Amino acid sequence: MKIDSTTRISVIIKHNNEAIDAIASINPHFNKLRNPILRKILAPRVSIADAARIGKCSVDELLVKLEKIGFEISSGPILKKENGLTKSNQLTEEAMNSEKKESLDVRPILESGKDPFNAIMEKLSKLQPGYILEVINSFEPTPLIKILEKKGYSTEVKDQGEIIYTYIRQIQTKKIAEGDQKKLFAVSIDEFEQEKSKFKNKLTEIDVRDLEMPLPMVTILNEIETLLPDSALFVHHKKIPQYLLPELADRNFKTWYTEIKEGNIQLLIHR
Amino acid sequence: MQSIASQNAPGPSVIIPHFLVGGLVLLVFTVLLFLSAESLTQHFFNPKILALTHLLVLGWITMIIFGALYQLIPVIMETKLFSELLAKISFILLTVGTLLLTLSFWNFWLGTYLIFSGCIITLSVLLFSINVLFTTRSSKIKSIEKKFIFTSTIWLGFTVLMGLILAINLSFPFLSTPHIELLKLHAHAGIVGWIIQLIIGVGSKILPMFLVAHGMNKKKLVFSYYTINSGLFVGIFSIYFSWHFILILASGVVVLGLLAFLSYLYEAYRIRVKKKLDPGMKQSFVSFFILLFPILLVLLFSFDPDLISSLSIPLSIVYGSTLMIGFITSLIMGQTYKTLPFIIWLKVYRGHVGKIKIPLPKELYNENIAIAQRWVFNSGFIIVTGGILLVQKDVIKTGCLFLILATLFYNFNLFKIIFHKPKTYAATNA
Repeated sequence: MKIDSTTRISVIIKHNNEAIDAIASINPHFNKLRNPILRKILAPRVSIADAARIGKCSVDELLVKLEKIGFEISSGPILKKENGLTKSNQLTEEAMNSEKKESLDVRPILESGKDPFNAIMEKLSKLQPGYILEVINSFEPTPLIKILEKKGYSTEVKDQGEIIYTYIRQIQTKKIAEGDQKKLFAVSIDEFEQEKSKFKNKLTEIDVRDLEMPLPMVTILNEIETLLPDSALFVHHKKIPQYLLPELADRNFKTWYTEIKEGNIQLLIHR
Repeated sequence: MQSIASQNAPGPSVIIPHFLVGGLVLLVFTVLLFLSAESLTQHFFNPKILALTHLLVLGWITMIIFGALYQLIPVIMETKLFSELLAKISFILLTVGTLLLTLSFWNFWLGTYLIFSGCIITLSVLLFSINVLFTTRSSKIKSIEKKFIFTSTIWLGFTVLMGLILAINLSFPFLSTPHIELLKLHAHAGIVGWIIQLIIGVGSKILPMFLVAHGMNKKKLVFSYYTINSGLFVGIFSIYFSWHFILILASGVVVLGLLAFLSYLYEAYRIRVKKKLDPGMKQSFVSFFILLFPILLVLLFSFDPDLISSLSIPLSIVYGSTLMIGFITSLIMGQTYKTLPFIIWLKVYRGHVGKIKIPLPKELYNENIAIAQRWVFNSGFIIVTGGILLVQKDVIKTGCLFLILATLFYNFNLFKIIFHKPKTYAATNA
């Protein structure tokens, strides 16, 4: 069988059971592959490249081991060492300095042989807006991160050797703009002011509260058409505009909104 | 056209058929009313009135409400509709079930046909309720509007089940309470618990929005919610067990709730920013004014229950017709002009707003025809009501002709809106 860095671990194990021992022999990080439940969780969601990162070894090391037990290495896609999951550390810093953080240690769940996925999702669904969830784990939860990013969360991994911290925050109200990642931000008043201050002299302010629908939407969309690339539109609105937000995302605008009080929503729209 | 996957509102193919069928059913209803005008001079328990009432309440009122709710629930609850497929199946079942039920009543085919069509409608309502229930569950919004919508769905379920039981009881009597009393129970659960309660839930959200009224006092709505539901609940039992005195109290409590809602609306009207009302809003406010008449009548009836059976059979017909034609039908016709143009406008022009000059939703229909429709309809309603009170068949028929004309105007605009073709002016700043 031909394999490359994108081949899934589950496919490899299915083809040849010895692969479990071969991979596990690289270093102790891969011992969890011997646990059938963890294997079931991880293997189908992880490629060789992912595995190398989780297990802190090089892709080549893995490929060489697998070659020994009879796999053919294809010249396939050239592998990238990083796939950009852990570049920024903004979330981590915020989590360190902020009170708005909740922690979940999933190691006991893993030790009891269960999948912590549901526990994490449940905790996330109860997380208050703006809060960050810190997941404490013994390996980088690549499958979880992939799922979460699709669902509109931003994640960051901090590697502390034996313990891996994963920080998760919802970056948008997913109900409104699934798939329109990083274009919609429900934020606190402070965060909103902070974002607004970036556009000090380049802010156009409009108040659409006294307009009958659909004029608020028409007015805003008219305004953004003439908006200069580095300026922003600051809008006073009566409600979170359900029809407008997806429209803005479609047009590649970023929207920040915050609720001052009921009937008084502020929006900041920019490219 | 860009993807609309991120929109919470369901596709137009879910909503528009409801409006098409609803408008046509209303036309058929007015024609049938003309043909059977003399049934309005008789006791309300007769095949023609049963057929007409069910055609109107299910094929027109409930049909439009279902369609409008599929659009509004996602907006009010800020979440996606649970299932578009269920909505489509429910629509087909409601259409087929209503036509069969109307035919069964019209020809007074008791037994199989009546019960079978009752089952189809029950199934349609069940699917609708599942859709509302699961959509509500996925929503984090906590508002009184949501409570109204949710509770009205429960009353709809109760009404339809009760209707099915009545259909069986009519064919194979097994309940000891007189059938007429059970009919009142069924009718009030439907009109107050389902239709009026839903109108309050949706109306309290969208009417202030159309009027651009800020800072409304929601306490009135909370009061309205608890009085209407507790009053109706106790009232239903009192009808079943013939507790006369408690029924008076219960009716009074429901009336208080209705008045609280009307006062809420009046407040929105007074503090509105948008001073000039368009034809749709004018017709809506006329309909709320008409609601005061059945409220007066219900107080009259509950103090003297013999009134219906002895002197005033026409009054009981007027009670039903002011509620269902004067209030609800008129309100739905008015609100169609506020909701449907927006739905179609969004479908046609989404992605183009702001880029090119496009018409506004209100330019999708002919305003003069909408104004004519309102005047002709109101005249027709007054003439029909006069004819019922005077027990004059020909007067009723004349009024019905007005109603038919008004409905033709309504359907003209309905089709004009639904089949609107994109109209673009010269590009401005594309």
